Amino acid sequence: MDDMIVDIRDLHVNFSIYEGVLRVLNGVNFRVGRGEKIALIGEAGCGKTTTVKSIMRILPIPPAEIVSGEVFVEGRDVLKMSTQELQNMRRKTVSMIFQDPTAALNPVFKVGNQIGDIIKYSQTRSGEKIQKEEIREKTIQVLKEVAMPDPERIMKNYPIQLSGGMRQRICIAMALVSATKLLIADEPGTNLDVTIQDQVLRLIGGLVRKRKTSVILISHALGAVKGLVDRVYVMYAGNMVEAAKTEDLFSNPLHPYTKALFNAVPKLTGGGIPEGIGGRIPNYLDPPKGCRFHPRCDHAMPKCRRKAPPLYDMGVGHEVACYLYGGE
Amino acid sequence: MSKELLSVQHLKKHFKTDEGIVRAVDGIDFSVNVGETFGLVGESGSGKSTTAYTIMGLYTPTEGKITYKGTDISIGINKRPLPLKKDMQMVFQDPGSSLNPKRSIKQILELPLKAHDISKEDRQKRVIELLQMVELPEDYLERYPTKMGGGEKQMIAIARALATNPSFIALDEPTSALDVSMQAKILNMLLSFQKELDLSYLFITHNLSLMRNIASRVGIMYLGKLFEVAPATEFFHKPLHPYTKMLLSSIPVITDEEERMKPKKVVSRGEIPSPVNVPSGCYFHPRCIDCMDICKKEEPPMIEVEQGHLVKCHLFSTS
Repeated sequence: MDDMIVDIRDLHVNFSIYEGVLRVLNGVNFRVGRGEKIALIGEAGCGKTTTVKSIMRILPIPPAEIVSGEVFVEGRDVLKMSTQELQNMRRKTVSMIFQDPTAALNPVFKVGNQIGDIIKYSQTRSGEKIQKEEIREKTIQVLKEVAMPDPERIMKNYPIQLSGGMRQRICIAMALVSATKLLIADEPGTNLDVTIQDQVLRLIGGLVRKRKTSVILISHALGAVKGLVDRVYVMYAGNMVEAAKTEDLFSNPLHPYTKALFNAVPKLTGGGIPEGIGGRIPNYLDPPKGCRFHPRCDHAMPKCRRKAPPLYDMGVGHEVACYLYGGE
Repeated sequence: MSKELLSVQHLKKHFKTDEGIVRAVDGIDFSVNVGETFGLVGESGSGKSTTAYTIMGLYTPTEGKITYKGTDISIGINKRPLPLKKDMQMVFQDPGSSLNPKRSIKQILELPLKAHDISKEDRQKRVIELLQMVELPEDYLERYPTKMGGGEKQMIAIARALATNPSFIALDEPTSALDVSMQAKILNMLLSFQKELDLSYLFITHNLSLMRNIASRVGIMYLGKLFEVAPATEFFHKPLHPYTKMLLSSIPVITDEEERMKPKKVVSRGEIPSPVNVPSGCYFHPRCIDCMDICKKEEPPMIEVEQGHLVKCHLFSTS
């Protein structure tokens, strides 16, 4: 328990909309150890972002509603924290990088000031006053850390004057400026070119290794997570369907969904365009009974339609939620 | 040798801005043969989309010649004859903005048919036929794009492009906004249409693994110029240009076999420079690991290293 930085237990989250109630998260269990690097993969709309937003408690409530479950950050339940405690947690423990750096930065302030504000905010609340000079030095230092060329000039630029890759590096700098213990990166490279995505991921990888920060990396680029993380969680329609060490998962995927997902990626070695997964992600207004993947699954059995499978432990921390691997 | 459908000769498209002239496309040559897929790869800002738009006539070329089925079509869309427009179609990257949210699917699919004077009865039949082709149920006719998923919208955009029975379709990153499973579905559909209808594609993407599986020939673009053109298999097994190697080494892959295919020791660095203020000599030299003195001064010529494999690099021109 103590060595876990994040521990989510049986989390259910609903969204109320005009048409009814979307049952999005359906009993998510999720753990991140100290210094551990985790990836969360799955199709768009499977609840990856909802899961991490509930860690930060930045889900819009309403329409979202946390029905049941617990979210522990360093052993304390986020869902029961006061506003003051929440702010402290966001300031000192958890930081987040968003998918779209353009939307995450304020277009009317210079990037140097935006980074400076965070330094000022995280320092003044902890009691000490901080001088302007010191803020400036720290800003330059953190910009250097994210491999930004000519930080003194960049500081005076507005976000629009920078390229997408540079904006994302500003966001990384902002997330790392206070000594965070957990970094959540929500598809940090998706909107960028492959070469820049590669650079951004290597930068994040290098920085967290140096600082021993834990990481939750969300991505649907499966290959991108491979070199960076220790463990991978596969999510489908609001459930964790498989969790394993990175090498185990890529060399021996167990869940039919994980296998289908890996097969759907076109390979560099050729072999034509793969089949893809038939059907589509279910409607959350009326999700399928039992295992939510059964309508698309080639191995569906009668019991898959009745009751959702529990997580079966296949040894060496490889867990899978599928009746093919357990149950009588 | 298969028949040439479209050929682009020394095509240039420049834009005037306050900061200077943007050389979005700066002298490129390539051709697309009947029934083949020509892939255009490059980072954003390399001029891939501008090339497609210019071929389609959405931009008038600044210089150079576009030949389609033997006729010169280096003119803007408003000067092109109607039968030509019917024969060349385009699918855009974002179906959310390329489909009118205030028109029903029926209206969207009917519009190109109306423009080409097809009778009302034939239109009705064709629209239903098109929906069947992209495997969507008939009741979608009265739906609106806003009520559909991204993949379904893109299928409608493809159906619209197919409406007039074209022989050439420009596909501008048709699947980059979609999930892998949806991507696979749409690509399979495109490939089967190509076989059935003998279509030629100009396929633009920045996803190289995808390119490997869909294109017959590939061209790499950087700052408005083509750096390497080669048949797909050769391109991936024997990449020559340092930029191609850098792109290949940046691709995230899943299996160990793929990992072995990637060129070693080429680490991605730097970013694509602004097309207003381009580097001297070879445009790529500030990011190149094999940069020599000559690269900073002189632009390398395009050299045919092997049959059909062209590369624009001093490493191959000096030896």
